[in-house]
Amino acid sequence: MKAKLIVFIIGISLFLASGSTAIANTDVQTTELTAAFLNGLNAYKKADYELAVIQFKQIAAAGVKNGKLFYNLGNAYMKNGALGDAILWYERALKLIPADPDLKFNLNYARGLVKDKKESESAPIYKVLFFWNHLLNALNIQQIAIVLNIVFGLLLTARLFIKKNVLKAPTGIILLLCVIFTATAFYNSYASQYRRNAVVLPEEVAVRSGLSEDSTSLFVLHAGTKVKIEKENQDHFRVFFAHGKIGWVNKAQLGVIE
Amino acid sequence: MLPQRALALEVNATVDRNQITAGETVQLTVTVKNGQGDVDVANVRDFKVISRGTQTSVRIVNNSVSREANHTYTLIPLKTGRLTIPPLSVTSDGKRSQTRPITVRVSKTTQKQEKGDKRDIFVTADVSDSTPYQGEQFIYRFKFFSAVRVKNAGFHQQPEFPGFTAKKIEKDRSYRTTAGGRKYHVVELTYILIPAKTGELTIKPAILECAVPSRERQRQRRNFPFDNLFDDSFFGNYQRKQFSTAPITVKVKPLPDYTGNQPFSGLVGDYNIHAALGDQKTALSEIKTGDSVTLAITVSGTGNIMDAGEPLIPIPEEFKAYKDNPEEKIELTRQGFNGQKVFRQALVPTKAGNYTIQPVQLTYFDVKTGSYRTISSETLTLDVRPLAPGEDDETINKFTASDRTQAPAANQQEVERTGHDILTVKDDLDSLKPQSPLALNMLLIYLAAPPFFYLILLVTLKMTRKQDNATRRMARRAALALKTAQKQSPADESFFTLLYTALVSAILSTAGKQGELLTYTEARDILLSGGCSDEIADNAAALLKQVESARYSGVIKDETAGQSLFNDVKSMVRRLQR
Repeated sequence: MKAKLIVFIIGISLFLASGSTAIANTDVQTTELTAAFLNGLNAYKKADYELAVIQFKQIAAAGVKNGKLFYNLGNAYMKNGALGDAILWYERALKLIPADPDLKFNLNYARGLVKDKKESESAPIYKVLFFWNHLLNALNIQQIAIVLNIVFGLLLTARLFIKKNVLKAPTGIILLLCVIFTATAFYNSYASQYRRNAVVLPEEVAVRSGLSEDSTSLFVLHAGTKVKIEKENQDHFRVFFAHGKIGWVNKAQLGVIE
Repeated sequence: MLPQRALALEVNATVDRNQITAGETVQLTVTVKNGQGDVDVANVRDFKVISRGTQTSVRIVNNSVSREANHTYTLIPLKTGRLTIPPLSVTSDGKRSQTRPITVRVSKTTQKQEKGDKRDIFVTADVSDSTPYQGEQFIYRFKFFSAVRVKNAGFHQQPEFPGFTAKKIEKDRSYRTTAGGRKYHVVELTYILIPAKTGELTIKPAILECAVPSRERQRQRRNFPFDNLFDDSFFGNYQRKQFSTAPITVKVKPLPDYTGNQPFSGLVGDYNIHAALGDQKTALSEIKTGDSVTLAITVSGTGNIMDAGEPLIPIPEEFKAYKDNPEEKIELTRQGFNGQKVFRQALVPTKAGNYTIQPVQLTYFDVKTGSYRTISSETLTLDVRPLAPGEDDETINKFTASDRTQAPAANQQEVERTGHDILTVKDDLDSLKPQSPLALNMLLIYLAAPPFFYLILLVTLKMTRKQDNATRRMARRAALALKTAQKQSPADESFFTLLYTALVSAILSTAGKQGELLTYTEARDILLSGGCSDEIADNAAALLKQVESARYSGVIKDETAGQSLFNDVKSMVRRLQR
């Protein structure tokens, strides 16, 4: 009996391990990216912010999604005077390292420079009610959900063999946590798919009533302003800024916060 | 509405008396009949005119309306002698009418006072200097003498000082004195005056009104109906009276032309100037570069000190100066304005060295000598030590004007941001570790894995446990039967029953089945289908047959035969269970 259980656990861990190794880069690529990262840091320290942007962006373009990297890229853009790009990368970093104090400080600083007054504040009550989702990134939430699932499964298995009721309370607690984190993970997955935000990149962008360049300009947004993407077209996004302020913007003028 | 018949406009002027002494007043009543209109009193030059109100009455007799208005004025003589109230004109509905002129004789008070003043109440006014310089302060005193008890004393007309800056000293003095052989109670009001213009300026009379005990039965002012009311019912035997001071003429001298080199400060009076470094108590003469020291220039004295502007302070170029608001401490005394004004500035030396702060000079007009005077403060020296190596040079820039105190004690202040910038980059190498969340399908697989494995486990357990149970139970029964049989002798009745049970249970357990009875053919089939060799199956079947016959026929009774059968069964059970 015990042998079967051990096999079962090993099976699961192998299964999990196979998943994470699949994402890992090859060694050669890793060294190249590390070099680019160090070059970027040096350039930043020498105040060559343009080069820093190029280096950091190269890593990001290679598919590395890391909050600290994005934060550095945001800093480089910020120093380079590109407020829109800086905020875009800070926002992207925020998705990955939501509790980082440096990032919060710099993002706040950058937001303070945005010319458009924010009209739709996200209610702080959600930050309190769903605090775990504002302290951990999506990957952490998923990992916790998976681990909790495994723990829950193990507890259930254990209860097959230990007939006594001692495991009842822990099982209940784990089940509750499991449900919360699993639901959060699914919500995040849904939100990343359907509730996308974007940041205005150029100094000034006219939000138009239609898709062509000669459509009426409804209002003007400035670099760094965050908007919701409501609809997508070939070359345009229909964006929502505040109640009654929606319109079409060319995709090239917006940076989507993935 | 009744048609108003046009009646002739009638205007009359009357006075209550035309013989007064200076300081007394005249009551003028202008009666306007059959008309509406204001009385023009602008051309009354010899008196100050104070309006006391208007009383109007309308009468209707035989369809004709007559209207009568009484305008009452109090006149205060501005000089003595024969004074004239000129014709006063009234305009009503385009018609103009005039009163006739009235002459009033005003005699001088002084003559009367010298004779021995019998007046119960009188007021006087005087000035400390009738020929002041422009800007020089002097004192105006108003005194109210009373030998009898009065009620409700108050200014009917406040003293007015056109052309002067006037400031009343808040506290009135009150004392007793003797004048002309009579004891008086005196209330003294003091004003500090500073002439703003030059030339002859007149201080207008002040009029005091109070209720005095009336000695005479005869009423002088019948025509003012409220007087009766006050006199009789409210004040008893008191009568309201007004007392006026004589106007005072002051000749203001202009300041002589200034010819000095130093700029004139505009101060007139008597002044001093001092300069000090650091705290007032501890004279500081040595500081470090970047530290601050306070330079205080104090101008003190008597006169128009509030007008003192900041004197020119020669600060060496190596100092940064942060000016503070001047601090005024000025008191209003019976001698005039007196006090000091302190001009502070924080000095921060930027270079080490020995510095001298040159005397600060102040030029003012000295009223005692009637000439301009220049005074200087002390010469100050300051030794600025260089910073010891390692000491923060930045303090120079962090210094603020409010940081005046030299006290070393921590003066806690709110930390203010001095710069705005973002925090720097992160150089951790785990910045390249991927942090992106799993795709939805991968997440689903991971999440589904534990329940999936759990289900598989559950099903397997259910299936295996069912078989296990029958096999195990039968094997246990076989072992138990053998164990019991071992303790018995073959002579016992149940001995062979136990052997039978053991053997049957062992055979059934191989197939995972349950049961009590078996024929030897059944047993053979079970064993064969359970994967046993033919030999074992045959042997087992044969043994079963043997045990069965022994059980029912009772053939074997002796110990040894029974024991050997037991051994056979035991070994067979073992073989089967292997």
